[in-house]
Amino acid sequence: MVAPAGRRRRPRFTILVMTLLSITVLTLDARNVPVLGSVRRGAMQVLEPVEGALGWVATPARNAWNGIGNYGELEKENERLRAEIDRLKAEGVTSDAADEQLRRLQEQLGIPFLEDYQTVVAQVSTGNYSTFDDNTAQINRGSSSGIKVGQSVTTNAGFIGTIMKVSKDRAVVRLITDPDFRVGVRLSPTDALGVGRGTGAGNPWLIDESIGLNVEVEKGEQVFTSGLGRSRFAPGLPIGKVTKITRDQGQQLQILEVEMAADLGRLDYVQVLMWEPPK
Amino acid sequence: MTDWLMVSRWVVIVVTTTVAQIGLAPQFPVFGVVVDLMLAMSIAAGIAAGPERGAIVGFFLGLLYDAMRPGPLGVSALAYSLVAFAVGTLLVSVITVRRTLAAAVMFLASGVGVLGYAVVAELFGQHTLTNGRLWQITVVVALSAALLSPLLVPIARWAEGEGAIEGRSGVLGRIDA
Repeated sequence: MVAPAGRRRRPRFTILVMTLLSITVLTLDARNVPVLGSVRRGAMQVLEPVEGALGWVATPARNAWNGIGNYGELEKENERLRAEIDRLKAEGVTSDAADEQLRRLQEQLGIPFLEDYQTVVAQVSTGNYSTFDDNTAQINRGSSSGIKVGQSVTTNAGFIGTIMKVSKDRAVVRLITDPDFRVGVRLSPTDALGVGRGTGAGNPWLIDESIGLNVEVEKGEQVFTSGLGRSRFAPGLPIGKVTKITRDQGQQLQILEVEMAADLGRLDYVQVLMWEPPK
Repeated sequence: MTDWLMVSRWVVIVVTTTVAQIGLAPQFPVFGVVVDLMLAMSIAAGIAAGPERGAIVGFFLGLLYDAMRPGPLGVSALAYSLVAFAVGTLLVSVITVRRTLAAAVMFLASGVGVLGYAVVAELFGQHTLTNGRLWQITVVVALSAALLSPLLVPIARWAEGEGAIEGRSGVLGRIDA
C-alpha cells in the first residue's frame, strides 16, 4: 500500500523554494530594507490588541500558574519583604536625613538621574514571545507617546537598556544584558572611566575595557553611564555596583563584575527618557 | 487543482496558532521557558500532511513568528520549514501515525528545531548558541510539543482533510515498506 497522494507531490522543489525565500528574507532584513521594517511594525500593531485582550482574559489563570510555579520563590520573597519592613521601621528615624544626604551626594557627583529628564512611563508587557529573546523586553508605549529608537530606558533603580524597535503603541527595549550592548561607564567615587557590556540574561554584567591595573577600584563602587562625548546613552544613569574585581595581568586590565541596580527579571513599570544623544 | 477549502483551513490554523503564541504562551512559561506552539504546529503539519505542506506551513508560521520577535527575519521560517520537511520525509512511508509515534516525533523534531533555530540565529549575529539556558529551552520545548501532540496532530489532520495521514492509537504506526 502506498502513502496518500497528498504526501507525494513535489516536496524537494517546495523545500528549495522555501529555503531560498527564507535566505532572501534574511538577507534583505540584514540590509535593513525598509519594507520589511514596515511589515514588522504592521505585525506588531495588528497583534497588540490581541495580546492585550488575551492577557487580560488569562490574568487569573496566569496568576495561579505563576503561584504554582514560583511557590518556593514567593515564600522566600515574602520572608525577605518582612525583613525589609522591619529594617525600614528601624531606620525610619534616620531616613529623611539619609535622603537629604543622598540628594546632596547626587548633586555633588552631578548625577541627574531621572529628575532632570522628561520621561514617559510604560509598562512591560506580559513577556517575550520566545525564550530566546530574553535580552529584550516589550513595553506598551510607542511612537504615539513620542518614543524613538535609541532612547534610554530605566526603572527607578537604574538603567536597563535602550529602545530598539518602535511601532505606534509598542516598543522593544534592548536590555543591558545583551552581549552586544556596550556602555561607557563612570565609577563613583573614583571617577574611573571604562566600558561595560552584558554577558547574557542571568550572567554578571562586566566592565572589561579601559580600567588599567593602576586605577584603584574597590568593591561597592557605584557604576553610572558616563555620557561622554557623543555617547548614545543619557549621562549619570545608575547601572549598579562593583561586586568583584579580577586583575588580568595579561591584558593589564581590571575586570569588574557589576551587580545591576535594576532587577531585570522582574520588570514592570519603566521610564523612557526623552533624551536624544547629541548629533 | 488547488483545494481552497483546505488552504483556508490552514490559514485559520496559522492565524490561531500565532494568536495563541503571542497571547497565551508567554503567560504560562514552564520553568521560565515560553512554549513554542509555532514549531510544534509546523511539525504537526509535517506529520499529518507530509513534507511539502509541512515545509509551507512551517515557513509561514516561522515568518510570522520572526515578524513579532526582535531577531533577524527569516530564521524561524528557515528552521521550521526544514524541520517540518524532514519530519514529513521521514514519515512518508508511514500510512498510519499512532499517538506514541507522533509524540516521539514531536519530541525529537522540536529539540532539533530549537537547536536548528539556535544555529541559524547564531550565524546571523544572535547569541543563541551561547545562551546559558539553551539545553533547558530545548528540553522544555521538546517535552511540551510531545505533550501537545494529541491536540495539534489531529488539528493538522483536520486542516489537511482527505490527504492527511491517518491517526490510530497504539504503539507505533503501520509502515508502507
